[in-house]
Amino acid sequence: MNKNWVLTQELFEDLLAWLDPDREVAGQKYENIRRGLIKIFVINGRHSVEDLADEAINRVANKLNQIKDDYQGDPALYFYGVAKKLVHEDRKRTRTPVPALTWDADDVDPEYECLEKCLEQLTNKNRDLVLQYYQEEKKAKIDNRRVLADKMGIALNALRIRAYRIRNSLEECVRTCVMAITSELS
Amino acid sequence: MEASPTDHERIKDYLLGRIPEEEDAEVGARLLTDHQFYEELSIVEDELIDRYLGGTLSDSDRESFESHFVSSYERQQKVRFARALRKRVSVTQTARLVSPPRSSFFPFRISYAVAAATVLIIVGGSLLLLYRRSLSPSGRVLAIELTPAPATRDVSEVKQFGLTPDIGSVHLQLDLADNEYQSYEAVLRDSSLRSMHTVKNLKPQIVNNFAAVIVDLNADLLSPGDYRIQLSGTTPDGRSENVATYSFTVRTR
Repeated sequence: MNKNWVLTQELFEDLLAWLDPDREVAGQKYENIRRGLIKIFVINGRHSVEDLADEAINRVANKLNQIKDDYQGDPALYFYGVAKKLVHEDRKRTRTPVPALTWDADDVDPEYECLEKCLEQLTNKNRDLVLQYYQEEKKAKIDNRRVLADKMGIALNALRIRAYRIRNSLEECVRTCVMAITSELS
Repeated sequence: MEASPTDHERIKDYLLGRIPEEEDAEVGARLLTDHQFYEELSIVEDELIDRYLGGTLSDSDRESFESHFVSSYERQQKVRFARALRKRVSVTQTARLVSPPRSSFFPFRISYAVAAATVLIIVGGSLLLLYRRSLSPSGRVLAIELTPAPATRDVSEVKQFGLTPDIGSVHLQLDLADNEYQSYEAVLRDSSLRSMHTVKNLKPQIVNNFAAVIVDLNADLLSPGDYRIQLSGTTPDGRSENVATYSFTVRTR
């Protein structure tokens, strides 16, 4: 990766202007693109995915003067092309496979400890929701979720999205907490 | 946005690395432009992980999951998080059965219903145990509940129990993730997967509101060691379909 490329404020403003004339909309599009890039790199089994996403954005920004006048279509698709190229480059560069997933033999894993802490940071309502939503298996799980949705007066899919968003925030919190514990130990 | 079943399958195949290059590009590009699609894909991703941990993925999905899905460090972190959440949720679930919930999601009268049901279960369970003891002249009945084994379950999660000399039989409750068959067959295998005992025509039962299959084994069958029970369902046309595997360890007396 070429880490010498830096996204200057001027280039960043140009990039936003290319994404949308409305700066607020452009900012939202930028966030969606960056988040989507990270997901694409994860799905393609890459590591340091945030660095790769920034690299993709830098490359587009640095090409902007050459492409913006003639480019047709949604700018986001150009980012996708750059991301795929980066995936190929990164595959060539890093050929070491990730070790197979194994569990820590120790029952008290850092994720669990962190999860307890992160659950404490949620509101009672969100904590109850996430702990109830993910209960049960298969048929009982569906029934359980239907009861929850009825109780909350929302559609099942709205509940599904709400639970996902809480889970997502919990996951972020746990990830940060585990990183802190790991760096303390090393 | 709620994904149609076709979309859902397509997203799943994309996540498991099973779609052609041109479709891969289409889905990937949509991830950058469609916020709702991004969210839907992330939900399906979580659901795949949960099903993997619950041991309810099909064989081919599990294979793709293990060979493709968890091939990045980030994904492995997601699985570890999901495993912790699963463990935490099961603690809440157990606590809810023991003491009536005070959660705002459940009304006051349901709390009483849960309490009454719990009392009934305890009393009923005790009576059943006494009844079984009276039927079992050769000793005490040890009741064990087993859940289906996920592919990566580690040793610490396998149910372990010891058999004291006064135990005459083991009453195994095999929890079903989904009750799809009218009858089941259970095959007990030892650590070298040798078939030791087969019980046919087992009818599913409802235990504490959940479907389960009950298998009673003579304690003499079980010497210390690791065991598996392979449960299969019998289709109306007589075919046998694999349902789940349950693992347990009998400790040294």
